[in-house]
Amino acid sequence: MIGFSDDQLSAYLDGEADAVTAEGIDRALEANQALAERLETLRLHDRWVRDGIDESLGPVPSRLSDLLERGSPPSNVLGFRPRPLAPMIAFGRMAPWAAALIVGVFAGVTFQATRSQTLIVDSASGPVAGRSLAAALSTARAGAPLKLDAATVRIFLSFEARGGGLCRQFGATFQNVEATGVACRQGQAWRIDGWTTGGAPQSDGYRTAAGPDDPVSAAELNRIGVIDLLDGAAETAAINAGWKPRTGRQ
Amino acid sequence: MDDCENEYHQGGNFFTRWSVVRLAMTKPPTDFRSNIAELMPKLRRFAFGLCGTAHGADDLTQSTLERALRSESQWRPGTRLDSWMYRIMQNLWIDQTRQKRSRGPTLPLEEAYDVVGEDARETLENRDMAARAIRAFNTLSPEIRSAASLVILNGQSYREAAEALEVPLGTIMSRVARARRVLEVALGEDSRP
Repeated sequence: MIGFSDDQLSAYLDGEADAVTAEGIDRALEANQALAERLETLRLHDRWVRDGIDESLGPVPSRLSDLLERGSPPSNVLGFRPRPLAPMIAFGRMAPWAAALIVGVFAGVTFQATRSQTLIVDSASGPVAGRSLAAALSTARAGAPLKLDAATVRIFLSFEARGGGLCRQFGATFQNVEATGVACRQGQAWRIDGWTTGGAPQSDGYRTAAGPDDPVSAAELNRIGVIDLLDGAAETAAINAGWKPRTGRQ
Repeated sequence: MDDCENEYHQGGNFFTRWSVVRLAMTKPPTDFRSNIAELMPKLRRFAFGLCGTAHGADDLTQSTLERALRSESQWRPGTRLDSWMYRIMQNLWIDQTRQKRSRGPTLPLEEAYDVVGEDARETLENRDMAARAIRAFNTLSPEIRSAASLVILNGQSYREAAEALEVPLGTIMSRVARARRVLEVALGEDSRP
């Protein structure tokens, strides 16, 4: 052992060790490589737990932020929990294309889908990506398929929309139902700006904006207005920046 | 349903739920609310530390926010809002856990990391270690998890954590150290630099 107790080393890491102990550890670190490595390992563990939990939690869901905002009823009112009737309630409230989504997502599961299978959820401001899809949209680069709990998602491209916001075109396959959509970052959420079922994602993983093979999504892209496509470096930068809107560009 | 999902959010208490909705719809934002909003990341992390799952954490966070909004008059300005919120959250969690006979938290790997594919390959190793770290974290007793959540996850001082959890400062120190020791044993040599 190194001469300091677990409690002392832990307190040192937290800046809570008393002055004498802290000074002793500081001195020991100058000559004791094993102690230095152990402290570094403990710091690494802390970071893994913290980063892992943050990634697992993802962005703050609208049902929480809505609770604190004026005039914005919490989106959980109609079924943010996976209870059996929730999809039917949402179905009646959503736009036709969103209703098609619900059909696609829940087809064949007789409304027994779990929360993790819900790719898109209703919110006060309209449909937004569910937790798994949001995590994929936030962290994945375009190209390779991403296997979520119950669906496979592929992000085709990322682009800057009119106004500076950042959006991503994606496809999803769920129980042999294929669909494509466009999601645009709005605050901490991914707003779903368009969606259609029945499309067949290309095998190469990339698409051109407004490609002729996907008329609905293309129309959606035209409506949103593609200002600039993000290349790999720009996409990585956007991921690291949390998909904040670009500034100084229109 | 895990420990942190409650019947309230399953639609059980409709009228209470709508009273909260009306509250949210009619009250303007206040410093109280904006201060709570700033605490949201820390509240969710603490909730995850207690519950062990992301969806359980968000359910518990929601219950906490609703309780806090209903109890705003009980908060004394000038005192620490974060400590007050942590106490609400912990009390809610204890109540829920008692009701559900204190089942231990579980965290399937796919719950923590459900995005796995070629695109994530380069970070898979780190993610695997993080998933293992979370699993080890979830094996800790609730008392140790709550202390470790405040200090390790949220960066609270020992004094702040002691105040929030209403335990002696020395207890916080030993619980945090215990958490780190468990992580060290669980993750073993793989994590040596």
